[in-house]
Amino acid sequence: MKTSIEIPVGPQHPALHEPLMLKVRVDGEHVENVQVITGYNHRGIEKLGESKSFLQAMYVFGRVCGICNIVHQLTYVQVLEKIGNIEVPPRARYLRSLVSELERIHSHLLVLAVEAEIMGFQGLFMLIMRDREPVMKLKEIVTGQRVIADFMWPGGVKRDIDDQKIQTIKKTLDLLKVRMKKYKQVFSEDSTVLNRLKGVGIIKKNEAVQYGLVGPTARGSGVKTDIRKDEPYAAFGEIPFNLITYSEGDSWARMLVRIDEIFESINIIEYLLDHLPTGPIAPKFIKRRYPEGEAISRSEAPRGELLYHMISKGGDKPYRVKVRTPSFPNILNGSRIAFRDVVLADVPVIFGSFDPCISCMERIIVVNQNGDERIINIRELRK
Amino acid sequence: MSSIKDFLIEKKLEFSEKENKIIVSIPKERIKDTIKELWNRFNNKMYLATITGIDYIEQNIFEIDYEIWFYDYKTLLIIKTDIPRDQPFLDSIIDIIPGAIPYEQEIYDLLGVEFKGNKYLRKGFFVPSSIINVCPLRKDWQSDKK
Repeated sequence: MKTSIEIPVGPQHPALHEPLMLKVRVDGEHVENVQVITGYNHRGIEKLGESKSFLQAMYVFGRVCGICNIVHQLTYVQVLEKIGNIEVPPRARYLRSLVSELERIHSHLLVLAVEAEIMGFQGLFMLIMRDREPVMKLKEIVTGQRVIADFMWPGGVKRDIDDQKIQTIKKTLDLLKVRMKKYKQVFSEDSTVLNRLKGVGIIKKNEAVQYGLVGPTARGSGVKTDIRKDEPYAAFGEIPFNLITYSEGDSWARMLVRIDEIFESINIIEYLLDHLPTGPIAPKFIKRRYPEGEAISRSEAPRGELLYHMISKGGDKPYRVKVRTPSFPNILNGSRIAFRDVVLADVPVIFGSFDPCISCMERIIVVNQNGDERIINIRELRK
Repeated sequence: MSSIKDFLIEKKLEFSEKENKIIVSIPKERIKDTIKELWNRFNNKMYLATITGIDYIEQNIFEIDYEIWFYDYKTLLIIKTDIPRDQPFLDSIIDIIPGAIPYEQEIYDLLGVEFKGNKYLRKGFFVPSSIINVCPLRKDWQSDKK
């Protein structure tokens, strides 16, 4: 007799953000379908933004995401700059790119570590987290804050860097480069990693396009998309770097895209520091009122394309701010297509490979067909 | 970019250009057919970046913007359409572009625009159960908390 049970994965976990639940219907170990349940932590930030002044809203949108707060605030101020027709000085554009890449490195390192932990590779998790911390420190050295940076102004940035800071950044990244070579070797050759990730959660290229996936999740399926190349912002139009894609489309490819992107980010930062222009970093006066207008700004967050769409009706408040975060299509649409021909133990691994901004991996409620529920730990499930 | 413009000229649609963006307004009845023909012509060369819903309460309309990115042409096409506030219905495009499912779900939940043909629509997709029957992104809705 065929029996299937439903296993809700999530929704709350303090370590990751954006809580969300996966309802996994399984037949034995085989996953039949995965349903995404949202709505546990909707903060109404778009509505809140409408009630704040343009400058106050800058701080609100800088808090959409803890990991990629720099790129959220950057995209928001870019929208303001388009509406207000504000020029950004070259040095500020370079510093914006610098902090964006520092953010990408620490975000990618985080997901590599989290994925290692999900795979059961605790040693790798700890090593990567050890090497992530100096990058967080660099972010603090440049922006003044380790996590939420509030580094942007409309028309510039808030803090400058000097030669001593440049040397510290270079020295730290030199060491990271050596370590990253080791991690790439582990992710490419280690049998634990390959057995858990290779051929698991395959997304074909045409599906990634149809479902509008973005960032490393799409690039892991061979889609050539990167806003830094497609629609250059900050200083990215002036920097040589490679667009990383893998054609496999599995969880392994998505992780390898991120590893290779860390190398690219390190090269970008080295280029930025060597070619840092002189001059001001912010306008003399920060504009508080903006004219009537509509603008769309996009940037490449660590998880993919981030889009802000703003309508201003003049005055000191935005009329409407639409935020499309990269995890929105990656989680909601990616979950529709990635969980085919997989077993239950693959679910967290595939989900981790999306670099999801969610918290769902610790608590699991098992629901059998009679409706009985019991909560188990995902580590028990792995056993 | 010229291929997209050729398509719009062929369909007798007026458009404007700004930087790498093409903006076109289409009546709501033609949205689905236009997106279908666009998708068929530029298959695998475009993806739906997002759908934005805006409440223009003074004009008594909702504006729905489909934002479509063309990989090869490096162009963002913005298809705008208006629907009356008292009849918030629009044809769903999920049978053409499946990636539209969550965007239509979000607009239904937060702005209250119903996409006909999208069986995945449900209230409470984002908002908590305490405000399940309201549309928070509408301009005439204000939070109770001051």
